[in-house]
Amino acid sequence: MTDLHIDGLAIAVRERPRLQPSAELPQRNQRRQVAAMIARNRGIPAERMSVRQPVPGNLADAEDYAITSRALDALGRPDHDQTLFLVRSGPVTDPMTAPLAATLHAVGWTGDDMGISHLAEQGGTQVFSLLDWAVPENRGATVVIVDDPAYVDVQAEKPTFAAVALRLARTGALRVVASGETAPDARALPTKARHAQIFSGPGACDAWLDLHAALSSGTVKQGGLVLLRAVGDEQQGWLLLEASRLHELRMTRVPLEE
Amino acid sequence: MGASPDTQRGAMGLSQVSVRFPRGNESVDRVLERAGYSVFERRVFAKFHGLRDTPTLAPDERMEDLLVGAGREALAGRGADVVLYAHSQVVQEFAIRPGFARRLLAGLGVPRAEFYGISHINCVSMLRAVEVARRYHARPGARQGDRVLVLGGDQGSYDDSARIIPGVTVAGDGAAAVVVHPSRGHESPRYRYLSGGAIRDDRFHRVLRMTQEELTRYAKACLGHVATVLHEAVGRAGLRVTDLDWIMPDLTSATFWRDFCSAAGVERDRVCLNLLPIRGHNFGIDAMSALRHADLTGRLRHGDRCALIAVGAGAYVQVVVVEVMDEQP
Repeated sequence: MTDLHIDGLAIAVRERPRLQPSAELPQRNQRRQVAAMIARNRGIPAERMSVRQPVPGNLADAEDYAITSRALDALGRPDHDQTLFLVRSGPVTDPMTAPLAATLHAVGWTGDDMGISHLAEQGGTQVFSLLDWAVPENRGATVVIVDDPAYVDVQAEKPTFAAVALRLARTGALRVVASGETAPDARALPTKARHAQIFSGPGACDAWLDLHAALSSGTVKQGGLVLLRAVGDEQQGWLLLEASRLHELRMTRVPLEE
Repeated sequence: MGASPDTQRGAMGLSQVSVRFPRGNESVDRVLERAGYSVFERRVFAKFHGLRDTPTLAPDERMEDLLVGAGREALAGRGADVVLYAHSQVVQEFAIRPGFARRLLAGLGVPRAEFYGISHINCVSMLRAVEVARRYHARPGARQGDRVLVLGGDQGSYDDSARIIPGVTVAGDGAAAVVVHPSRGHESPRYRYLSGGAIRDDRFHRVLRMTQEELTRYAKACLGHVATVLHEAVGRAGLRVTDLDWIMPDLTSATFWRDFCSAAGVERDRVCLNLLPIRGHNFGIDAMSALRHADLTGRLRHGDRCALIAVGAGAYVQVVVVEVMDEQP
């Protein structure tokens, strides 16, 4: 099988997420009702749910595509048309619109696209099991992993409010060695990962943000292995990368500002 | 992947389609009345769009059970390596309860299968998932016995504001499933995959927030896009649109297909709209459910060529062309 490599990494981070307790919204407000439905299904008090408010005056954020288009814009356009995989689970701010199509319209994307959902916190690692066979052998792809929930349980969740955009190619800076998932309490790492630097967190983007910081500060060495982990309640996802040609990696970090 | 240039390895087949609708039903008129539509507007839905009933889960029914029921029937006890769950809605009450994917896999009897939601492309998600399944079978090291379960379905009745597309349709609850597998493997397909096509026109990403002017442009553009993608898809199979025996449509409204047939020169009786009054639009599963109904009612013969068509908000159009094979005992 031809290897997949990451040769571009761009992250967009919401600098000051504005969370409003859902109980402050009018009783019949649709977002309050969705927040109450989420609380009911999780078995928690509705008061624990907050809704993320968009950046004032930012229509793209009101329609929930500002952070993905910001990350994608920062990553830049591919040389040739390729498929974009948007990894995003859960409700969006405005279900009356199509945030993926809006993102593509905003950045002028001309390749295919699709959303990958229901991976929750495993999205940043488990999607590589899909990419392993879904990206044609002679092609690259673009992946945007989103952890920018519209509804937050303020007691139990600490989202990164970020989007990580990755450009995948057949040669490049970070080689995808393997990916998988284990039980959350499993202590054993994949054998190959025994000497890897580990970046770990509870959400889909945590480990990616830590990797970005480590790469920026030069603490990831050429030829080294890095293990990204997403530790959820039910599963622990992992992704093993080899820093094969670090000098080729293009990296950006952009804020989503007020 | 969406445009499906047919360069992939080997012939693909689809199993018999399985469909599950709830026992419950609601009249489209009642849903619209509840949402404050005038008598005149409601008559347009009935008289011109041809919509009468919309499947609605009864209080003791669960969407998850419809998905499991459809999936298990399509699997026929033979398992799957990958499950692709195609959905249109992003607010899904039944899927918010923690552990949805694991529960679904366990219910389907395939706890170790890979599981991915295919989403954010609205009502083309199920036909697109068929294309994604083809990628799995085209991967290096693919085995003849590999199987991908494509599962689709949404619960429209969760919220009236999510099930009514103003001036266009009312969507209901339902699930459909089909297994995508190599044609020359251990099982014979009910349908042979011939070709596919897709287009995205993201000018219309504001969907239900579009102005009336944008909605008018959107409706017109969709007619053109369906004709374009259909021509491209049948062309990839070495066919012409006139070679098609059946069109299995997106069941949003009769108005759309009347206009399409007039504009594209397609005979109306080749578009299977029989389910429109009793099932109406059920997000991404319409074309699959029309195919199943045509098969159950004896309309399909060996060698018939069928184009499955889906139109999604955003806007997306997806076409899959299949050929009916001999029914296996």
